[in-house]
Amino acid sequence: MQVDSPAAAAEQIKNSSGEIDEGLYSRQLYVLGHEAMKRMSSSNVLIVGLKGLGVEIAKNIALAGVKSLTLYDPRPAEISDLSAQFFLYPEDVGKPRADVTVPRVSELNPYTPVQEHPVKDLTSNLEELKRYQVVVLTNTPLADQIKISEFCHQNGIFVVIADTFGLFGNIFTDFGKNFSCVDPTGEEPLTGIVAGIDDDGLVSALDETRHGLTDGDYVTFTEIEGMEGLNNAAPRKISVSGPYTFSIGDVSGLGQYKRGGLYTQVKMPKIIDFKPITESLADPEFLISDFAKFDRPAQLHVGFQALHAFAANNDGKMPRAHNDEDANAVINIANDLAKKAKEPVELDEKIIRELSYQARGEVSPVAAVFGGLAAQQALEAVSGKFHPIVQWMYLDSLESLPTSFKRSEELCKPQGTRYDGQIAVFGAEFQEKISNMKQFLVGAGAIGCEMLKNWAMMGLGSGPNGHITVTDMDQIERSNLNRQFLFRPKDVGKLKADCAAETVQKMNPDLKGKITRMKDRVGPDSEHIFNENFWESLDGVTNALDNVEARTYVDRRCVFFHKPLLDSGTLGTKGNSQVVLPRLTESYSSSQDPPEQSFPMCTLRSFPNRIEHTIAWAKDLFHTYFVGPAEIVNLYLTKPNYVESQLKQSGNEKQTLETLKEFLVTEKPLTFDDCITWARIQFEKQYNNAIQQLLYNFPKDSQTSSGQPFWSGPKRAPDPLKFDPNNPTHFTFIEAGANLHAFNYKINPKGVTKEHYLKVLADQIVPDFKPDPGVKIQASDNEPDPNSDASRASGNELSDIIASLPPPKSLAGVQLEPVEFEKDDDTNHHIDFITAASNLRAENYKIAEANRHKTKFLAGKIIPAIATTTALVTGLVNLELYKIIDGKTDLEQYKNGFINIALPFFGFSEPIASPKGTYKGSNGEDVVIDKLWDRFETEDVTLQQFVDDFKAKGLDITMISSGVSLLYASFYPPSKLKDRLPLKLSALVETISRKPIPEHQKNVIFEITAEDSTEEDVEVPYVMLKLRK
Amino acid sequence: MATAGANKRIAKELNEITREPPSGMKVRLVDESNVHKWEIIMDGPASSPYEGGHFKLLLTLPIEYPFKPPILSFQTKIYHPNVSNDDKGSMCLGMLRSDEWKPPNKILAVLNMARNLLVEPNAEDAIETSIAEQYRGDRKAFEKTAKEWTKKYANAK
Repeated sequence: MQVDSPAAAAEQIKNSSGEIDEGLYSRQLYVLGHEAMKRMSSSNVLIVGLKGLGVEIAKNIALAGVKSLTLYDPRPAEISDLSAQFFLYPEDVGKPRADVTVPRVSELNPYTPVQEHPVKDLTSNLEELKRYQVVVLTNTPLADQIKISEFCHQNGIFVVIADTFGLFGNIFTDFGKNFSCVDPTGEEPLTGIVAGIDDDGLVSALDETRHGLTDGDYVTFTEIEGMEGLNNAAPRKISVSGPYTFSIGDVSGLGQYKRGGLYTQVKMPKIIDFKPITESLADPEFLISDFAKFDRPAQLHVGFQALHAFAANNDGKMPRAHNDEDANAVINIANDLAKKAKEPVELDEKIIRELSYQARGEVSPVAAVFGGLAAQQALEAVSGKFHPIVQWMYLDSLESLPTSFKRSEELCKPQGTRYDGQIAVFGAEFQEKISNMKQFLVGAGAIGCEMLKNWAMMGLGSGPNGHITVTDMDQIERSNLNRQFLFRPKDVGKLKADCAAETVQKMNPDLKGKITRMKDRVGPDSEHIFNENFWESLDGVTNALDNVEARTYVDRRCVFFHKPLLDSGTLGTKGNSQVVLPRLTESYSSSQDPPEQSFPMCTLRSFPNRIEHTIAWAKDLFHTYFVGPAEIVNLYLTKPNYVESQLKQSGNEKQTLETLKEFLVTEKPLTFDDCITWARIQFEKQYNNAIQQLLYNFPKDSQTSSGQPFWSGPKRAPDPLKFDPNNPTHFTFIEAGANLHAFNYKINPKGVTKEHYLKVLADQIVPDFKPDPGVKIQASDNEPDPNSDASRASGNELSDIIASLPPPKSLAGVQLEPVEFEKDDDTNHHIDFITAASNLRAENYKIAEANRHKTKFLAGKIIPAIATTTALVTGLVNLELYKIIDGKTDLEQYKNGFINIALPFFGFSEPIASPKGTYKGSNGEDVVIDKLWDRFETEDVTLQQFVDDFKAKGLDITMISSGVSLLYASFYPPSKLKDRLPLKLSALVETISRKPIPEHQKNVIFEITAEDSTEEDVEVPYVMLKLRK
Repeated sequence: MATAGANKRIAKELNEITREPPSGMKVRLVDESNVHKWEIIMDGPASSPYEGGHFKLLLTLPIEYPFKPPILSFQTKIYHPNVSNDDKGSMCLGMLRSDEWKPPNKILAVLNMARNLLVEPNAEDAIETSIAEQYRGDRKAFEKTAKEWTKKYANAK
């Protein structure tokens, strides 16, 4: 994610006191950057049409934050609007949509004022539109779309048009001629170390690291020796010649490359020419949203126009639901249009018929998908951030139509209920099925809120047998409000699950009494709460989680209980959704995300070359100073015989004792001034002395045994720092360090002025450092090594230290306060310390610094997030949920989704079937197993019986494990086996794990490895032991 | 969270290594209640300064194994440029680095790499830079200390 300079942009996103509100916008800033948000906050946006799609767009734009948001829809609300319009309640039917919706949207973000468009008739005075930078049209007749869009094109106003009809939707964009897209990918610029540049301009990256660039990218260079002319010169366009090399063209006259250098990608804006709507209608450019339906956009382009034409002929009314007379009329119009098209279009009559059948329908998931996309387009128009849709996109989810439930004109006609928009598409029988589902929602954060909104609109769980259980252990925080739209500022501190359930019950009162809210984390610790009865009662499970661990756990439970699972996630502009179907598909855990990046310890210790390295080092330092020692001291003070028990452990007793001595005796501060002095000493140690020692051992001109300069490639030669109290970074290190040290000792720094700090610092005498030539063994290059002679520490030495420690009894009641890292509190000095500590080390190594904002992002492992991606992904998930409710077993009907709205990219793929395997049974026959969903079951027999039972199946067990315990291995010596074989399985587990099986646990899982009669290792399912208690 | 598949893979590797132990090594679980912690007794290779020593190593498999590398640490103190001279005794080069580790790599290969490093330290990529410097500059002094340590800590006769 791009994180740019905040200072310049800060003033633009101000709250009433003139301060940028990073607390609220935090997670979104990491996606968009300050520059883009600045442009958004000076833009006025109009949204026309306030049915489900319009309000979804309004919600997303209000949350994102623009200068003003104006809504237009004077038409009275209808009962069927409630199928997707979450801000209309039953009592609002008959009132003008905008009147009711404006106050509810305006609650979403205090920085986005929301008002109604002051003009009654939109097209009678187009001049009124000039007050907006973006106009978004929904539910607008095609003739008006054209009139407005053409006017806007002439007047430099950006236009986004979106329509949804049942399971179909489209988007059109016109951002004018010469639209400048400043960041077409949303990716962080690539950077790397140069290993060489030859005379033809061929650049090689260091150590065979892939550069990741593509043809046409631009790069700049720094720190090159020889060919210095390339440093900081105008960006060079590159062509890729291999994964590790690229060419920058002519380098003649620049001299001979010697060594060093970094390359950095430069992002170039992309200029896009949009055609006005009339021209584009006739000659459309499509973004392909689903490669399995590549010919569909052209058909739907005709079909949508045919629907508009039908409505124009029928008083603005769309064709009746599932009515063949109207459908035939639409088909006729479509055929006419198809013939006249510039490029002839072959129509699939069935699709146009469905489009007509569903034209009056409105379903919440489709509104969520297109609402997320359309809002994103509007925001991209004003910010120039990310690549817009050019210019048409169509998407349908016909696969979501039920096949196990009947649809007919009778079943699809309005019933006078709030679900009529959905009934028009699916029919009343399927609606009843939806209402009687029992779903479990794990998480009520960003995805959870969107999920519950969709479910409330769909009426999921609202029927006599329906139910929703939602659990989330978290309380609402301020940074949530920017996209978790069921929460308001007054809700901060409340439990998420409670608050979300309350809000959606207001949106759909049918859900009153239908939602169980819980605050328990779903995991091994809560299996007595989410027990067997609970899981068995469910129809399905939906994850709305932000971490892999919990996802994996829920996934395993779903596999175990054979429940369908919907999983999804977002990361900035990227999102994915996955369907897991019992006995049919792979599960979530079948594929693994690449593990989180971590850095080699050696790089962090001595040879950092990226800001990520210094930030990781600074986080370690934070822990070493403010967390670890205080915890050790507290153990010493509270645990009887701590020292004695420590001494028994081999290894670090000396270090532990020295830490104790330092924090309890020699360095123990009595006043805040002592804390300042302490921080100053730490500065000297880390940024001067350690570096001097390193340079003493490895002078800048030292060479490796192969004659290469030691300091080259990824090894950057450091320089020691000289403390300067007037340097803000130096000062922050002291200030934050002193405060955190004082926190450990509960010393109150209240009222200490900067002058006072400076005075204490000026009075302090810092001893000169001389590199120690006698240092033979240096454990760490960064700090004087307390263990350097641990090996030689005699018993006397240790007992001397112990003797110097005050006995715990003498300090009864004393405790240090370890610091608990919290990234979102801007007053606690945590991120301040880490930022300063990291940037000082960066200064040592001449690595480009990172500001506080970026440091917080990396050190806090913040997951960037925006509302539009979340809305879209949640919509996709619910389109799959319809299929699960219908009970489809044909994998081809399901879709896993991968999207990146920055590009924009849509990828859909059929879920992968669960893996199958075979082994030879006892009679030599092939036994087919589903490796994921199948399992063996066993009673609580003896180990001997268990092994024999499998032998009878043709499987020779070589190992048995349960959890992380190894229970049996065929290579165990007979003496060991003799003891074990007579044990019952439950006793065996308890003996080896040395833990009793919990009372509530009704089964134990065993993993076995086995060979079949061919003596081949075979993959076999797990074994479940059913306990009878 | 350890997935069942990961534990199964660990069990398989343990099975293989137990059936055909690598030369000069004894491998077992520290405790059968946890397949993620292995204890290795490694004999110092002949004609290395570690000859005659018996080094105890702890191999810890992260819960993400095999998607993250094992962590190898010398429990017996050893004088070696690639083993950190602190209470951790960590070795972190080559395939043990998270950016170089590949899931198909096996524990057997890790152990063999560690043993090879005893024969031939990698001074270019040292964690103990001053030992590395000595190894390159004054091989005799290096070997002397390494032998002394082996004798003192690793039970060499």
